[in-house]
Amino acid sequence: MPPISLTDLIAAAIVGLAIVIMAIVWLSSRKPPVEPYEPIEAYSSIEALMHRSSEEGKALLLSLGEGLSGQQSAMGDSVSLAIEQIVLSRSVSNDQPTQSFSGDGALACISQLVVHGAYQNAMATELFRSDHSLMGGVGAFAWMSVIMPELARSENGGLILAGTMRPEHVLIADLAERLELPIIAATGSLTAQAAFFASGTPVTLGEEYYLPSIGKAGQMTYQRSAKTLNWLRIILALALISAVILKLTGVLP
Amino acid sequence: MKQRTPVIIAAVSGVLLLVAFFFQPFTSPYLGLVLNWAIILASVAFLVAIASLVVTHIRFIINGRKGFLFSLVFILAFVLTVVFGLYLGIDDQQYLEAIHTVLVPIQSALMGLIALVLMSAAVKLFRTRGWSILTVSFGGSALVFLFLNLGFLRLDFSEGLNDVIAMVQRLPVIGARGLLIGAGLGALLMALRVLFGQEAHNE
Repeated sequence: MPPISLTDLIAAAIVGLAIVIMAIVWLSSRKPPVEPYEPIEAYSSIEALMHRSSEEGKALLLSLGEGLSGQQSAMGDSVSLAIEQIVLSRSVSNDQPTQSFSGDGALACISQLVVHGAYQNAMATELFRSDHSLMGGVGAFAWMSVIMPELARSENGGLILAGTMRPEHVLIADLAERLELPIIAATGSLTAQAAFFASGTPVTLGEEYYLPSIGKAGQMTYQRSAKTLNWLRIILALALISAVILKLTGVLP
Repeated sequence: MKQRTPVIIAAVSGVLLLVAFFFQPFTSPYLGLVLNWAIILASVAFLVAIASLVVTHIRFIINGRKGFLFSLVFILAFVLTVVFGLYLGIDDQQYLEAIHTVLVPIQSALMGLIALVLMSAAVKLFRTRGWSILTVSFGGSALVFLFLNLGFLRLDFSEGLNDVIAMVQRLPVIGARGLLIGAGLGALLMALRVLFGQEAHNE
């Protein structure tokens, strides 16, 4: 049996450290913090868009990214499902149903379950239709080509792009801007974040994407997650700086 | 309890897989087995999603929904691709060429369009986002590194200055690594929240 590699051991140590910090933060944060972490701007925009579309009686479009399996090995689209769950739970009773599009079969199936679950929780399963959540197409361009015609429909009140994106998807933002349709991008992909930032679309930056705070900013769960992430960042930054110093001084080979 | 059972099963499976992933020298046969299950499940999910998509578009055509022509094109393209794929085989050279003849020009045209859109977005950056430290550093660094990486600046007379330029050219990689570490931490935390059922608990 070959030995466990050093990289795997370091990764396991980081996971262990994250679990320990989560536990410490969970146990020590029993009361609401005096200075709570602020909500993430892009997620606040999603909340505002949800209210606006509800008031105007228009539908929300939700694009869930390229997928969980196959071409994409990232877990970014799990966040898009979490976002879908939050958005759906608050828009089930809207005049127009929220429409979701996925770029992958597995994601589309899970998305259908999420949508159905939202209607079930609202005790309105008779309003659920399978075409509320569709697979747009496989691959970046096929998926994009399904979203773009949907933007032109007058009954749509806005588009939320969540999940694994590519810089190419800035075309969607450009069309939405020309149609004066509000659009918000929540993605973990750095290149897509840069492209959407340049286009003027509200976008999550860096690791913000992994803390979906829609309507949850005041909740203890969000505050604890934000605190854990902050501590992890501090510890890792200190570890990196220490490693650099040790390397420069010749202590580390 | 009825709602918690799936969460508990998912969490336990996730934790076991996570542990197995780190101890691959000992657990690789089991990981391979689970990976095969995942592939089979994903394939079935893909078939279900395709069936759902086709049925929806047929429904759009029957109901005469606005823009149903797109649905008609989709169904036509889908049927043709499946029929010829089954008849000729997916490795058939002519079949592959026919598909590439359609796909490659469309993708190339889209890429050209994206280049133009990104250029116009860069020009409009300060109008849409306003003047802030973030926009100025974003726009400024994009310009500087575009200029440097195009290779216009060559200082052949000075070895030292060339080394400095090479070092500056590496800065975006360093920045990207920093961002990736942050995104990795965020993803790790999200995964742990899902594994421990915190996301489900919030619902």
